[in-house]
Amino acid sequence: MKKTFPQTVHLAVTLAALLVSLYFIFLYAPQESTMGEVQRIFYIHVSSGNMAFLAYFLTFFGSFVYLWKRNESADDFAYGSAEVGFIFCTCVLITGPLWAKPVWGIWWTWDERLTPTFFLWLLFVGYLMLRSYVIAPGRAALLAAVVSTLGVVDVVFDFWVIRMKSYRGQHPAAVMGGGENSGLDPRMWVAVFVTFVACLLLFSYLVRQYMRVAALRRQVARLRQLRDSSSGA
Amino acid sequence: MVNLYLVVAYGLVWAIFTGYAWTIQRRQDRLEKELQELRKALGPK
Repeated sequence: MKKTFPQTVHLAVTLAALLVSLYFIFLYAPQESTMGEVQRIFYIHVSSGNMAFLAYFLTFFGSFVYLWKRNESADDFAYGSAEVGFIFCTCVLITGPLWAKPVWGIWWTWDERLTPTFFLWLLFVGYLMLRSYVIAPGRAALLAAVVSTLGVVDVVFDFWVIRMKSYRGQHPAAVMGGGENSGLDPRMWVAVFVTFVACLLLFSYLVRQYMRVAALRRQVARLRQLRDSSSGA
Repeated sequence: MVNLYLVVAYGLVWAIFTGYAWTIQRRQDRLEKELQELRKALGPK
C-alpha cells in the first residue's frame, strides 16, 4: 500500500510552522536599525519570492515529465505549482510596494529587478489562462511547457540581475551572494529560514490540495461518461 | 507604535492564503458531492 503523509497532519504542521514563523518574525528577529519595524515585511516578501521562483521550476519539471511520460499526475502537479506560485507571486507584488513606499518614498519603479518580477506574474497569469482556454489536453500541456520554459528563463534573470556588479537599480542588494554590503544579523537569518520552511510547507499543502481537486475532477468526468454511455445504450 | 504598512502587508498575505485555501476546499466539496451523486445514479458495479 502506498503510504502518504496524512493531509490533516500536513495541515496541522503547516499551521504550526506559520505561527512559529510569526514568532520569529515579530518577536525573535531584531529591529533593523535604519528602516525600523517596516523591514519585517522582508521575511514574507523574500520567502514568497522564493516560492514563486520554485513554483516555476516545478511547473517546468511537471510539464516536461507529463510530455515525456504522459503521466496525468505530473500535469496536475505542474498546474497546481503554477496556481500556487501565482498566489505567492501576487504576495511578492503586494508586499514589495508596501515595503517600498515608507523606505523609498515610491510604491513602484520599473527597474531591472522589479520589472522581471512583474513579468513573471504576467507569465503565471498567461499560463493559467492558457490552461483554461485550450481544451485539447495534449496541446494545452505542450503550450504550458513552452510558457514554463519562458518562466524559468525569467526566474534565472530575476535571480542574477541584482547580483550583477553593473546593477544600479532601486531594489536592495541580495542578502545571499550580494557583495560586500549584503548580509544579515544571525537572528534575522534564523527568521528567514523558519519563514522559508513555513512557506514551503504551505506551498506543498496547497499543491497537494489542488492535486486532489484534479483527481476528483477526472473521476467525475469518467463517471459522467459512464452514465452518459449507459443511458444512451 | 505599530507600523501600518507592516500590518497591511501581513494581513493581506494571510487573507489571500485563507481565501485561496477556502476556494480549493469548496472545489473539493463540490466535486465530492457530485461524485457521490454519480455513484448513486450508476448503482453498485
